[in-house]
Amino acid sequence: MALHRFRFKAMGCPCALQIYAPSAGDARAWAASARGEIARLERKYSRYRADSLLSRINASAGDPDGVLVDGETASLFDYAATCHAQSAGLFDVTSGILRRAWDFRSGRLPEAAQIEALLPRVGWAKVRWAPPRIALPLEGMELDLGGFVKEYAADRTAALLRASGCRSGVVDLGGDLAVVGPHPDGRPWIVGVRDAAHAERPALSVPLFAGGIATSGDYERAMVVGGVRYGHILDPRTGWPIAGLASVTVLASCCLIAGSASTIALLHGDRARAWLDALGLPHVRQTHAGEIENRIPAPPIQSPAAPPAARHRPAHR
Amino acid sequence: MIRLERQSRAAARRARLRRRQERRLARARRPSAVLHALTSSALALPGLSLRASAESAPTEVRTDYRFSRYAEDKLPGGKVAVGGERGRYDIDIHQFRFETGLSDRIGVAIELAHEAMSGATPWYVTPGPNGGDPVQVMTQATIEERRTDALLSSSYYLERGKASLGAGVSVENDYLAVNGSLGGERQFNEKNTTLSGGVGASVDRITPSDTNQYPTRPKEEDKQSYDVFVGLGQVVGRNTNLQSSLKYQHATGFLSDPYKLAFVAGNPETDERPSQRNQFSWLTRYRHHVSTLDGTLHFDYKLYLDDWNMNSHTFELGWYQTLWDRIRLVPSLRYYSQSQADFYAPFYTAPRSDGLRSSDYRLSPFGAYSWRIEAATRFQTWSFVWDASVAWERYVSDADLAIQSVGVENPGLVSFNLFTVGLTARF
Repeated sequence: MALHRFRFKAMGCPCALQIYAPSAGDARAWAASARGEIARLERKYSRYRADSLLSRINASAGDPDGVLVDGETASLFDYAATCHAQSAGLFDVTSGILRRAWDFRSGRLPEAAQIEALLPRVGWAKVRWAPPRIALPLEGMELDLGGFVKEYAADRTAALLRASGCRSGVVDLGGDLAVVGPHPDGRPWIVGVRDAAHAERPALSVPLFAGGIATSGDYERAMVVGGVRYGHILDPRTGWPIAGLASVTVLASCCLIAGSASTIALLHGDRARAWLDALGLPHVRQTHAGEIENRIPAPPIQSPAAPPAARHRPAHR
Repeated sequence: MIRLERQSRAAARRARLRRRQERRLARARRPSAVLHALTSSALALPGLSLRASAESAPTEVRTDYRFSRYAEDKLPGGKVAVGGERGRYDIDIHQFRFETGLSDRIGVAIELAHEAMSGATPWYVTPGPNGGDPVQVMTQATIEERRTDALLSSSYYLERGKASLGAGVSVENDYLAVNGSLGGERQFNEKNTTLSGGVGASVDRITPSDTNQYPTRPKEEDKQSYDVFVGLGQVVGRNTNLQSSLKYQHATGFLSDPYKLAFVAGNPETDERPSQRNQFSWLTRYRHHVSTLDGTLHFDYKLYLDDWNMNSHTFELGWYQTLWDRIRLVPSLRYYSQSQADFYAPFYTAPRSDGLRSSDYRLSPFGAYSWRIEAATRFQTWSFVWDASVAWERYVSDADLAIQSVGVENPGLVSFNLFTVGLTARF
């Protein structure tokens, strides 16, 4: 068993696959099927590809008949609906068009009118989702599954590798990771959590045996206007940035949940800490001031052995 | 050699950490409604298996040691036939358990117990002086006895369940028991439902001591017992678990107590019980975790019935409180009440037509309560995780505590203190 590493670009970010395989041939075959799966999901859900299913749905905006979707897509929309409901409307797959108003490189705030013009076309509640048919009732509405397709792809790829017999490995899609299985000797994968204040330096390392890890950050695209920082985490209800944590990294039973949890946490702004504590998943949060709060708990106490049997079997005489 | 040992210890520690992380990620420490909703929705996605692995054998090595001191209260002078207040039985119990996985699929455990018993026990009951309450005659000499138990068990872990096999032996100078068991467990319904079942058998040989001194004692007797059980566990909501099981046991052979006598028409006679007993019990357990308090409520009820016409009810209520992730406090209360065996009497004015007789307090009608407090803590040193615990239980039995009203109390009813310390190491 040797470790094989593959690096490639997919879904607009650098990706890596590390797998243990009995031979180089097996490793290549597994890597090819993994990349095939990632490419399939990119073709299907990329909003940058005119031929994707998502682009077809977005092109149908305004058509009350909408588009019929397959089971996988239906499950993803159901998941989007769950995230929307569980975040009180903060996580919204229709909010992508708000980015048109915000150009963070310009250093200028958008006109209020620009945002006002976009808001009527934002809101998952306006989407008519009657499985298996989805209809975007207003022209110009758009869905953007960028918030979780990458995490879903990492989980799918890890599951696919497990199903093909791979026992040890990790799928890394731009920093969102799903574990196939720990190293053959049982060691965990060590995942560096990026320091929000010093981009290329890891803030800390997290051992990961199973499940997934994902980070959402508000430190990459931002501008400071009049002494106020405007980040790229936008509130779908107002169209304006939400100020809060710089980055949240969550560990979960799969990468998808880790990703949604970290995204929703950032959308909660200054209530993110309380929301994360209530959620109950291990996580690391970083502030714009460079503070790192590690909420990966110590092992909880377990039940000791059963109580002594003495009282259940008194001496027989 | 040392290197290999260190490597395997490190591997076991990693495996332990992996299992812990898998458990934690699959079921967050304080699972919230949000996480539950996200997880249910994610589970619906095609080909996304959240379960990291099937049921698997323990990958860590776990050793447990506990010492218990069981001390019965002295019997007050008023309940003793001759000689005033008498001390009763004390037992020192050492228990050792070792458990490890031989592979992903197979786990084994060895349990050893050693008990050192000493003191006097109830022998027979006579009518009280001047027509008063009956009084207890205790064994004269101080009994010193030792018992050693050994049990070997193995489990085979499957995708959604496990199969177990066990064999044990219990040795005393006057007693030998050999037992075996087979059991299985299967999970359904996204692991929310667990069905379990099993069978067991025990073959015992009794060779009473001092038969020269007490010629009515049998020299050698046998008994056999067989049992079968089925159980159903169900997760009811995220924080609640309900388990219910039925057990039937059939015993045949010498079921009397060779060391006890019954006072019949003025003469102490041997204890004579039926040569068969059919026992039936129904146990229900309720567990409810209260996330806001990080505590769990345990409530158990057991109904017992047998064809000696005995029945009993046991109610147990406990609260498992975790403090600062490292300390656990468990206060609990138990109430017990039983009816008498139909042939039992504290003493007999005339022999029964069926020849049966026993004045054993354990077959008499009574009730009991006990309270128990346990404190446990966890700490880590080197590559070990230690759990240390200490517990104290106080048990009191009395005829007045029975659900039904009892005419005559058996004077031999026992009350005791049980003190336990335990240490578990995992690596």
